[in-house]
Amino acid sequence: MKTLALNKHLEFAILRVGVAITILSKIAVEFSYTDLLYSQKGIIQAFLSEPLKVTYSVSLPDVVVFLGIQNEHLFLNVLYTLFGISAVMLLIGFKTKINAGICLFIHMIVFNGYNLLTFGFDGFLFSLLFYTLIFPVQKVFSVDRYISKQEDEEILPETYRFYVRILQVHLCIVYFVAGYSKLGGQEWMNGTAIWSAINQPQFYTWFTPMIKSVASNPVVCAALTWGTLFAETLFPLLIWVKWGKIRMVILVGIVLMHVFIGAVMGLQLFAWIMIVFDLSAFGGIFRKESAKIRDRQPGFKAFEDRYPHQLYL
Amino acid sequence: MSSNIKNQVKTKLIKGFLIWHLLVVVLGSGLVRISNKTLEGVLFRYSSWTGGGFGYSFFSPNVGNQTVIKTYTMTNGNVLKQDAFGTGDNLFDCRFSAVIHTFRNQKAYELMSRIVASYLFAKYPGSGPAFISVGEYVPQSMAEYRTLKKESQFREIYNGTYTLK
Repeated sequence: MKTLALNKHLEFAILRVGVAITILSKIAVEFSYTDLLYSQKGIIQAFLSEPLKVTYSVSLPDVVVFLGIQNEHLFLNVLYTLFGISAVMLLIGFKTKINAGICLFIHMIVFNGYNLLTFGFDGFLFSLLFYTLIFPVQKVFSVDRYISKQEDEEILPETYRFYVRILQVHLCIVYFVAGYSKLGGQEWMNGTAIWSAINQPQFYTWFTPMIKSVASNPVVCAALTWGTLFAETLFPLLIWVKWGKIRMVILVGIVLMHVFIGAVMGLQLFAWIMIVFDLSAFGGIFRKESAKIRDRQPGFKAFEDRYPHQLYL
Repeated sequence: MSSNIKNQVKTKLIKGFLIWHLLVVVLGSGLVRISNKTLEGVLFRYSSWTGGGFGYSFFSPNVGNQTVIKTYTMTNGNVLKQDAFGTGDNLFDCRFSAVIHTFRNQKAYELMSRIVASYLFAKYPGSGPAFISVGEYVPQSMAEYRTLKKESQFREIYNGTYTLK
């Protein structure tokens, strides 16, 4: 009988499942616009995309020309359907590596072919899909693990730590660069950047009037602006400080910042992929904190002995 | 070679590769200025295959004003249709907004207007001329918002009238 530990290597499960959900969400909101966005007769026509085309990698227009596709509408529908099926397989962890490879390839050719239309979210999805392909994510909470006949399917602790460390360092680079690049900006320094951001028409949401009324107070606006600057610039430092609950506080703070971006500015996909990145890199902090609470409460220990965090398959 | 040694070599190779990957992430992030064209070329090539090495400087150094395109088209039924691009109504508009923000010069605005005009002529078949206005959306200050003195402004930076021939 195989056991599925519910708290082991959780970061890999978050990475694989989070990335798969991101792809499915992207397909859901993008499917009806694929012709407009990604066909050669779409909004970005060859005379504009050709000079900026990535020539040293595979791109969607190249694939269309190479395969001699006549019906681009049908081709894009088939491509996105395949993308969706592979994402579902990635979600459940069936033939994980193959499906991660398919998802990465499709995302890559679209990204390289129409990089004018991309924004931050696409870059992060690209990076995390790459990690999903490289890391042994198929060994955690997956159908692959259940049907595998190999006995040595456990990930070695030092290997696991190394992979998670790669995610952690990458995330720290992201936040440090995001914070550092803002330091010279007048709006960030005088505390009005958040006001400018929430007033952009493209970020208008149901919450905007309420947030505008709150953030129109200069003190609140400055607190939100400098809070963002503080969290981004100091995240790479504070997340390693093992004193009190600093790590937990900074992680919760940064996740809340993304919740704010998703809810108030309408950038749900970007917010989601960043939360997936945060939790797949540093989600272990929550596990350690909950373990500390468990150790302090004898009742939890007795409960856990009776009901271990394992499913017997 | 025993399978144990093979696994050790494989693990070491993957580790070495991932350290190189992180190095590219740092170099491509914009934190370090790269003037060497060859190195820049290597980074671009690597990024386009792996997704490592993009810039992460969002909303910096300033948030700035957003560019919006307003259009007015007379349909063949003599109905005036008004559209706006760059307002983030849906994912298509969000992505198009990314294009609008990429370029900030008169030639690019004219090119953008032509693209929008061709889209409008496809959207409203048989329509007459399309008037296209490209502008920056300038928000009111916090004080102006609180005292209701001034609304946010659309400051036009380019306009043109386009006809399908």
